[in-house]
Amino acid sequence: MSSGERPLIHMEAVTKVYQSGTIEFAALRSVDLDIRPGEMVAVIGPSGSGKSTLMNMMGCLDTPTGGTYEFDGRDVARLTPTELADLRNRSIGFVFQSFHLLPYATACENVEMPLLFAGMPARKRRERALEMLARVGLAERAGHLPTQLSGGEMQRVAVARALANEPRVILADEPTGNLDSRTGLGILDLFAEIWRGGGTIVLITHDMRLARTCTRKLKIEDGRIVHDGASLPAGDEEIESSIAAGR
Amino acid sequence: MKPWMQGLSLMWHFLGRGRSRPASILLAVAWGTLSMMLLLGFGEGLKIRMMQGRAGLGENPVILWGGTTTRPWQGMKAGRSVPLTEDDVNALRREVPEIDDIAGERVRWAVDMRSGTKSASARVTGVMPCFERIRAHHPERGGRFVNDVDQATARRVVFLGPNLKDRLFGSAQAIGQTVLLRGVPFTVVGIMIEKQQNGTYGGPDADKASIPLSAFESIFGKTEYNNVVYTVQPGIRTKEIEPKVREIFARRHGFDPQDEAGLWFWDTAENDVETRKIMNGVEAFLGMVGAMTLLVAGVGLANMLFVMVQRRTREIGLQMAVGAHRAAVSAQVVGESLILAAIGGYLGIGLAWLICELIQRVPIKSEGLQFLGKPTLSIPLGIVTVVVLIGVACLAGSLPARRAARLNPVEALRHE
Repeated sequence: MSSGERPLIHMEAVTKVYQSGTIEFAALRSVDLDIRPGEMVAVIGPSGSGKSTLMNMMGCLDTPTGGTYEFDGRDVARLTPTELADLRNRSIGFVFQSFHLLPYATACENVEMPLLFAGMPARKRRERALEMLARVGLAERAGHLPTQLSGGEMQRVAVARALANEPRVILADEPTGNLDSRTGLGILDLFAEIWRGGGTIVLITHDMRLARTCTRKLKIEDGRIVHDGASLPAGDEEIESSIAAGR
Repeated sequence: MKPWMQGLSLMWHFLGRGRSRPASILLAVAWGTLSMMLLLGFGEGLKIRMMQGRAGLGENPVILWGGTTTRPWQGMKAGRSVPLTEDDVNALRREVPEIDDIAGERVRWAVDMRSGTKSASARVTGVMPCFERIRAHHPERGGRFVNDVDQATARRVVFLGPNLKDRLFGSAQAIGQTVLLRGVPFTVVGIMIEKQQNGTYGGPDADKASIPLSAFESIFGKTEYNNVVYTVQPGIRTKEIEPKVREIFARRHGFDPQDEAGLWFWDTAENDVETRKIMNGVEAFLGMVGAMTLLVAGVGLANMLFVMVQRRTREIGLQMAVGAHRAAVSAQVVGESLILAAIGGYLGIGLAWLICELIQRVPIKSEGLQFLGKPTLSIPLGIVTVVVLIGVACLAGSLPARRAARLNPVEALRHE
């Protein structure tokens, strides 16, 4: 990673304020953040600290109420809904805690969905989806419905779907949150492998084991980034160590 | 591939898989279509029946009756009867070139008629051969109407209405048989084909006997005409020559041409215009009732699609997250609406066709039902139904589609 390289994600004084009647709630407060290609970033923080809001901003699913957000040099605020949809389709891959797979579609069809929205012809779509499933170790399960898959397998399908269009970044929101620790480790290995292959990954997580594998750790509290470094914040490291010792 | 095509492709691919199975909506759309088609079909059947009935009286004939004057005129008092004579008919034929065919008609009611052991008291009219054309007295195969030779030689031949034939002969062959008319033998030369008749004067044509005018005079004596019937040349409106006809009668019989009670006109062509207007109105009304029924089905369809959008909120959020355009999301909802409407619509059209076919095959004896006619489906009717269906489906789908396309992906993904 070179510090001179243009950031893939560039946030400057980004604020997100939600309003409910007369009550205002600031989910993000003046966040400055640069993420460069090839980084593997963990975003940690307590519940309600603004982690998911940050991911939604990074993923162009939501727009800031203040500040500037540029994705790969493009000012997101200036993009039309159609351009935003194209940007999400081609440049961003999402992995969600609850997998978000279509229940009536097979694993292969789920992986094909972003390829369809990218305008890829059916046969090529199928080939690409099978290739992605093979990459996450699910080639044999391509024709299975989500109800026929385990939690870990479902999350692998979600990762394959996120990878389908070879995005610039993968944003994963608590990807191991619904998995047992052993299965979570498998997913962790998968992300590490993607990163080693040159991918950029942002993980929102409570899981310190997952966070520790990342090259950069961000801690967010009350909508502000309170820690940004290669190691975990001191307090979190101690908590994690005591949990590990107790285990 | 355009975004809306991507949406349609996705919708088509997953159609019926794990999604809501809207049998009740299909039924509602089918019922709406069936109602609309049957109502329009009955309207069309009634219209056809009315048009057939109108033709039963002839091709827009005008029927004249002599009246009674209501105004004094050139020294003559009011209240005089105006007779219709052979000379009047000749004068009209001579002086009104717009008249195509004209004939006087003499009538006797309750004439005793016998054939073997069967008898009937019937109306007998003395007519000219051109009466066949003017008043649609067309014979069944194997028979004929009164002809010029019959008229010239006062031949005793009779042309029977189908009901009268049934009363005198039952199902037996009548042509060539003898009928005693007031004890005078007449040979049956023809039976009138069955026809629908909206308007009558003196009774339905099916119940009467027609004989040559000359033969009529030889039995009943030469009297005034009971009425005169005429048709006009193609392209001429009967109403245009009415003042001329009235003026000739007024001149010949000495009454005020403005005195409308002196001569009565029944202009069936004018009636025809009114009938057409009424029928178009009836058809439009029935069509509207049907369209309303279909619209109710459309509201059901829209409701179902709203529920579907609600249920699939997370799914829509996911699609948006992975790059679906708003058009792709809308297209799925509208596409589903169109498919449901198409399936329901085809079911309805098929059922309507089946019902109409069945009714067409059932013989109807009731006069009331005969008057209503039989529901008739036509290509224009089918086109109207399909257009209304597409309109209803688009309308029903557009609002839920709009809602789906405007969902915020973040909120949609959080939706439980």
